[in-house]
Parts: sequence; C-alpha cells; structure tokens
Amino acid sequence: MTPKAGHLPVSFFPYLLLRVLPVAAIIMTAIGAAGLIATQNIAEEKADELLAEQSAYTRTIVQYRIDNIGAQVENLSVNALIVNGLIDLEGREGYLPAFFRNLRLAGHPQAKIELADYKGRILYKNGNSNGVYVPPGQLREQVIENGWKWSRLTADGLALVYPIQYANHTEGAVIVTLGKSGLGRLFDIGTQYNETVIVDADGRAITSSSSDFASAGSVFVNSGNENRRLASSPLEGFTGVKILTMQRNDVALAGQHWLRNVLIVGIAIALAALGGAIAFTAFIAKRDVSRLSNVIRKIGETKDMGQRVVPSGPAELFVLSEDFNMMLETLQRTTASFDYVDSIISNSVEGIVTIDSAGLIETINPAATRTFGYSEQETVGQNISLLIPRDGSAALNQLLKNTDPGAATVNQQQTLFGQHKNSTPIPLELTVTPMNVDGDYKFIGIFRDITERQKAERALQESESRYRQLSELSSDWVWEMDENLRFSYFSPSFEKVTGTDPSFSLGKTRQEVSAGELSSDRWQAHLADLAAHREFRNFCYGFVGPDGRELRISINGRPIFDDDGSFTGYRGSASDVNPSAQGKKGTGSGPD
Amino acid sequence: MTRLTIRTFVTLMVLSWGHTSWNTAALAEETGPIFIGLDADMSSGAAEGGEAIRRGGDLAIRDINGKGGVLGRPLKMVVRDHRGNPARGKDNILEFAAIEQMVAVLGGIHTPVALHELKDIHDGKLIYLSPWAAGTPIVDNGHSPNYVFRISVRDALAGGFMVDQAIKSGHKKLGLLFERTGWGRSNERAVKTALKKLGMEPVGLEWFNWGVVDVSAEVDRLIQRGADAVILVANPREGGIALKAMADRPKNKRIPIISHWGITGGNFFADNRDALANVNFSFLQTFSFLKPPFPDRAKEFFAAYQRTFPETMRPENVLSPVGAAHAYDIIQILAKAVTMAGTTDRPKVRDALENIKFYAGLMKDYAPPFTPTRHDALDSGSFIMARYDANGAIRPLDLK
Repeated sequence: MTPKAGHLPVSFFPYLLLRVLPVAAIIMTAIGAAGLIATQNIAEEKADELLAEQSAYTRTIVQYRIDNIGAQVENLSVNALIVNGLIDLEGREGYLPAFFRNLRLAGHPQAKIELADYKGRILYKNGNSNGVYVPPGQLREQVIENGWKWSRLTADGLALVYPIQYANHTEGAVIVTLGKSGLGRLFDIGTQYNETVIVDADGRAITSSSSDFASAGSVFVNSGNENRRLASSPLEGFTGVKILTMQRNDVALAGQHWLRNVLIVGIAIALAALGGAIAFTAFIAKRDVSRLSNVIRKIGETKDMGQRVVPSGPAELFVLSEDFNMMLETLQRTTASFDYVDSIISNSVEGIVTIDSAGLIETINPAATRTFGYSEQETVGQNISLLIPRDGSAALNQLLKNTDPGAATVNQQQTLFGQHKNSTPIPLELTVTPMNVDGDYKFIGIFRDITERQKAERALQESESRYRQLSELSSDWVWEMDENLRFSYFSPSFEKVTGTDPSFSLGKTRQEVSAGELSSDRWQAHLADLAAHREFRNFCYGFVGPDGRELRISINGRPIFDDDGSFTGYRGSASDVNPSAQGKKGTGSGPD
Repeated sequence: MTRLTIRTFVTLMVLSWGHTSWNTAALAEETGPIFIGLDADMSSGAAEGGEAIRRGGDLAIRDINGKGGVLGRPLKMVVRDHRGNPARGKDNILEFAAIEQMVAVLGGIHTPVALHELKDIHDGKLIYLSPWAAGTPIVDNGHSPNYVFRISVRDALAGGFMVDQAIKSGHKKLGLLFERTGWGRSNERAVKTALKKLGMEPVGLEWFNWGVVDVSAEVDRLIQRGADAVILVANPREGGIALKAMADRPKNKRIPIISHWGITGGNFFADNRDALANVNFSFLQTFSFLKPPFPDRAKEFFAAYQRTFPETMRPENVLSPVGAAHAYDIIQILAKAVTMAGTTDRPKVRDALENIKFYAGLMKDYAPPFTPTRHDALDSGSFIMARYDANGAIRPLDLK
C-alpha cells in the first residue's frame, strides 16, 4: 500500500482503537491510580498538617482567652485589697462587699468570683450565680496545702482556683467559675473553615461548633466516622482537655478528589473518543466500500467498463479505489484486445478450434464451422473426432499426448483429412499448439482447407509435366540471365541441342560466348535493348562452344522485374538455326 | 496538719461521749503535763517574732519545770502556726479550747488575728496571753469576764508615745501610714487622740493593704501634704515596702519614719539593710538587753537563753528581744496564777491572774501584774525608741 498524503491509513484507526487508545487508557488509569495512591498519603499528610495548624490556631485563641482569665484570676489573687481582706476581718466588711459587688472578669462578665479562706470557706463573692461547683477536697489539697493553682475545665464549666499567697504561704484562694452559659463566650471562635469540638478529660463535649459533630455535654464519639479527619491539640493547664478540629474527608481531600475526578473524566473522554473513532471508522469504511460496491454493481448491470470510483476515505480504501480503477482500465483494455482477437479469430479464413486435454471442443470459429458444415452449438463439447475422424483423429491424439512445446511434432504443420457434416473428406493443413491454462493443457488447432490448393497443384504439376515433355522433345531451350546479364539458367534442351555443357556458359555474358560481330548493328541494337531492359525477338548470333565450333542461335528475351519493379534479369528461349538444324526443323532464319 | 485535724476531731468525739469518759479522761490528765498553747506566726512574715515568743515562753517553762513544775506537773507548750492569718488563728484557738489541760494560749504578733480570736477565746474560756500584739481592743474587748491578759505595748499608749517622740524630735506635721487592719485602726485612734490632746491633727492618713507591693504613692501624698515625719504602723513585709518607698526618694526629700514595733517581728534588718542606711528610721521597743530595766535579771535570762540557744553569741543577737522578754514574764505570771488557783481550771486561773500581788519580771516589778480592771501589765514607762545599728542589733536611741 502506498501511503497517501493527507489520508490516514485505515489501519491507523484499528491501531488507534485496538492498541493505542486501550493501552493509553490502561496506562492513564495505571498512572492515575499510582498517582492517586502516591499522592493520597501526601494529600492526607497535608490535610492533617493543615488540620493540625487549624487546631493549633484554635487552641491558641482558646488558650489565650483561658490564659487571659487565668491572668485576671492571678491578678485578683495578688490584689492587696483581697489579701488584706483575709487579714482585716473586722474591717473588711467595709470595703470587700463593695469591691466584690462590682468585680467582673474582663471579657467574661458572667464569671462567678469568690474569695475563700485558707480552708476553702467562701468569704465573699460577686453577684453572679452562674458558676460551677468546686470540690472542697481538691481545693484544699491542691491550692491550700500545696499552694498550687488548680483549674478544671469540663462540660459543666470552667473553674480556676488560685492561691492567695502571703510571705510564701497560701492564706486563701480566689475562685473563678464559669458555668455552661459562660463557656459559650469563652469558646466562641467565630466561623472557621473547620468544625471544632472541645472535649473534657471525660470525653464530654465542652463546646461544639456544629451539632453534626457533637452536642455540648454529651460524650463525644468519633468512632464510625472514618470520613472525618481529626486533629487534636491539648489545652495547656487542663489535663485531658483537647481541642478537636475536624474536617470531612471529602473537603480535606478535595484536591485529591479533584484529581480522581479529572482522571475519571479523562478516561471517560478517552473511551468516548474510542467509541467515536469506531463509529467514524465504520462510517468512513461503509461509505467508501459502498461507493466501490455501487460502481461494481453498475458495471455488472450495464457492462459499462467506463465507470470509475472517485477515490476517497482512508488510505487503503483510497488506494483500493485507485487500484480498482486501474484494474478497470486494464480490464477494459483486455476486453478490447479480446474482442480484437475474437474478431480476428471469427474472421480468419483459417479454421481455429480449441480443445481441452481430453480432446473435447471448447471453441470453434466461423471459418471452421463453414469448413465442416456444423454449427458452433453442434460442435462445442463434442470430441474432435467429430471433425477429424479415422486416421486423422488417431494422428491428432498422438499429437495431443505431447505437450512439450519443444517437441518436434508441436507447432509442425500436419496434413490430414477431416470430414464434412455431409461425410465428404476434407484435406486439411493443421498446426497444433499447446497452451497451459492454470496448469491444465489446452490445444489450439489452426487448419486450412487445402482442397482448392491441391487442385491447383495438381493442375500445375500437369502443366509442368506437359512443359517438360514439350521442352524435352523440342530443339529450343530456355535460358535466364541475372540482373548483370550473366547466364544463370539453361533448360536441359540446351545441352542436348548444342552438345555443350551449360556450365561453360553459366556466369558469362552473351558477348563472352559469342563469335564476334559485336560491333555490328545488330549487336548494337541488341545491347541497347538489353541496357534498356526491352524485350527483343529473333536476335541471331554465333555461339562459340568450348570446342571452338560456332553455332547460329536465334533468341527471344523478355526482361524480369520483381514485386518492387526492380530489374532482376532476362528470361527467354533460344533455338539452333544452323542449316542442319534448319533442315531438321524446317523453320527459322539462318545465322547472320 | 491533716493529722492534727484528725486528732482534734477524735478528741472532740471523745469529749462528746458523756460524763463517764469525760471524768475518766480528766482524772487521767491531772497527773500529766499542763499545756500552754502558742498561737503565733511561726513561718510567715513575722516568724521571727513568733520564734522569739516561743523561746521566751520555752525558757520560762524550762525554768518553771526545773523548779518542779506547777501543781507538781510539768508545763508543756503546744505550738500552732497561724501565719498572721486570722482564719488559721481562729482554727488554732478552737483546737486549743478543746484540750482540757490547755490552761492558756500564748498569742503572737498580729493584732488582727487576736481580734478575730476573741469570741472563740471567750466561748472556750481560754486564757489568752498576749506578749506582743498591741491592739487596744484585744484587751479592751468588751468580754466579761475578760480572758485576755497582756504584757506588751498597748496601742492607746504607744500612739501617744510615738507622737511624743516625734514632737521631741522637732517634727510638727505628722503623716500617718497605717496598715488597713484592726491594728492600724487601733493606732489611728491612739495617734489622733494623742495629737488632739496637743491640739494637732495629722497632715494625712494613708492606709495600705497586706500584700501591697508599693506604697510610694501613699508616701508621696503624705509628703505633698507637708508631712515632716511619718508614723508607720506595719509588720515587717509592708514596713519594708514603706521604708523602700522612702529610701527611693531623693535624699533631700526623705523624711524620718517613726515606726511602731511590728516591723521587728521578722527579718526586717536583713531584708532592708540598704534602705535602713538611707532613712532616719526609729521604732518603738520595750525591752533591750543593751539597756535592760533590771540588768541582773536580764543577764540571768540571757545566760539561760544562751544555754538553750547556744548559737546566740551576744545579747544583741537575741531575736526580737521584746517578744522573748514579754513571753518569759507572762508565762512566769501564768505559772503563779495556776499555783495560786491550785487547779488548771481556766476560769479559776483567769481569776487568779487578776489577783497576783507581785512578780519581779524582766520588764518590771509587776505589782500587781494585772487587776480585774487592768489586763495590760505595761505602760508607756516601759517604752523606748530604738533603731538598728549597722549590724542589725536593736539599739535604744538614748543608749550612749
């Protein structure tokens, strides 16, 4: 196939469809899958990192607020008026109630603030009632006896108990508590990208940014929610309290999902392209094959070999169309040649018969049917012995056994007898030629009815016989000269009449065997005739033989020309006109 | 602390189990030691004062026990630390009051603690002996019978003494810088009364709280009002802060500080050595080994002191000598009262305390120490002014 510029080979489509696109799809899928696997961990790590950052960020905010509360409580615990209140029992009623009445934590005005003595007994408190219970045991052990700051954050609320130190000893405590309603303000971190749940040491949700994840006060359970990502940050100063930042996996791994979707869409597009290419190829092939089919059908219907296909489509079909057209042209030429040959065969004066290797007639031309008197229908399929019976048939069969083109019998002309439909024998001149057709030998027999020729030959033989007999009996002879006017032939009578071997004269001019007198008028006139290639009559001259004896000869001559009109010599008769010979004959004139 | 609390609880439970067990317990204890409680700051800002009292009391008990004890029974001190915190003191008193053989309680430096304890002292009929706390209302407490006896400064007298000292030193415009407690208020009344008698008024009164970290604003205000001296009522911690506020002022804008004696209850000198060198700072005292009222008694006392506390090389090294001396005298007087009463029954001992005719003490010849109408054994005749010398020894001003 010769590739055609601008026309993709049709194999491109199946190659594309069956090899490239599936392989590409598999490779794409494999690379995509590998990429997804490879990037999954990275994406998850990144998501966790971001989530941890978010969690840390939230923790920073919450930690700051709680630390801020702690700082305020710390300030209260070292506030000299409060410290003094622990000592000045008789006077404190004058100033501590008023002080506590207006005491509020900045940012958390609903916080309950209490002053406890060294045993945790509450001495004073502000006007807020929304606090949480602080166990006295913990208060005493942690704050009074150890002088440690004690703080607790649970779903019930926040409690901070800070020791009041005097001269390095704990003499009382400031207790700040925030109940559930107060926690809302503490943990209100505004709208964030992720959801936040803060859980206490018992796992109960202190606050939740979304009821989808947890409700405040209930135990937070994350199990069974594998579609969530979760980052945890501990809140300093509150053992077990954790800030959980959560994100749905589909949000956290949106980039990864996007990648996956792109891959799916890519594969879908590739498959769609595959399907489209299949459809397109089918359309192209069907269209172009249909065009070809239509042309073939039309040729079949109309025998019009002039039909042509307009080449189009993929390269192979394009080339097929061109090849088809070329085939049509060849076929058209072949058909014309066949008609020509058929015409020759039909119009040939020679009979032509083809027979198969079994001797059955396959074709017969009109000349043959005329020769034998049978019609074509009567002969095709019949054995050749129908036309050439008896000994002729046997000879032919012998001939047919030899298929060697080099054999002596092949291509040699045979003369034998056929038989006319009316049983009349017909002399034939036959030439048989074998031909190999697809490994099977067939024979072409070409013959000529030689009945008329044999008649003419017989007539000629009779004429020649009569002429020979006549010339043998007469005293005349026949001579011939070539174009150089030298003797080339003498009839047998010459020797008989003249007693001279013809070889003496052959190759010589007449002048060379004459007895002189060449300058006479007669000779001059004769030579002029010869030169002019004119016929002459009754020219007498003296012939001198090898023995020196002179004979008087009278000759007649006629020039000879070939088909082209070229002079080729003279032919004529001669007779001995010597007196002795005259007497015998009684005719003719004497020598000059 | 927890163990003691449990013991108190158990004791209370035992006591509540009817008379049989009560009597049995009482009989058993009559042959055991007689307890004297010590309720003072033993570890906080005025711990040195508490330790001085403990040492004085301890020396007295050793002396008494060395002579056969009281009623044939040894005296034994039970120490409880109130750290200057009235709530702790109150709990200590409740604990002491529950102990049958606890004949009396020796108090500490802090007037506010003593004031807060008064009700429980009297509810428990617990004899309260004050060797230091000077608040006038501690003794003038309105209770009758009055279970409080004091061998110490009485603010009502101290106020007048300090004013007198100021006037004598040429000061005419006194600024008052007092702690916001019952002790401060006790001195407010005393000082204002004393000034009023002189037809004067303080140029200003500034209060400060326990736990305060800076009183320079208060000092500034007093000086801006023209004060040429400051009368200071403070314990060691806040006294040091006031001293520092004065020392931090430009040299020519510093004024003298005449201080009540509360500052001597702790490590005042050690903590304020530099500031003391830059401020004219004098303070009230009663007893000094350097100029004792009775040198022989003082010498004998110091000898005993040095035997018991051998690290004390010289008399001026005795911790807060006023606390030691007052405690020594008052325990000796208590022993006499118990002997006189012939019992440890506290109301009877209390009555006996009012009826002792004489006791020759370190501070004075008590003749008598107390009367039914006078539970303060000292008067201003026992008062002196003093200052720290370069080595931290308390040196009377008039000591040559």
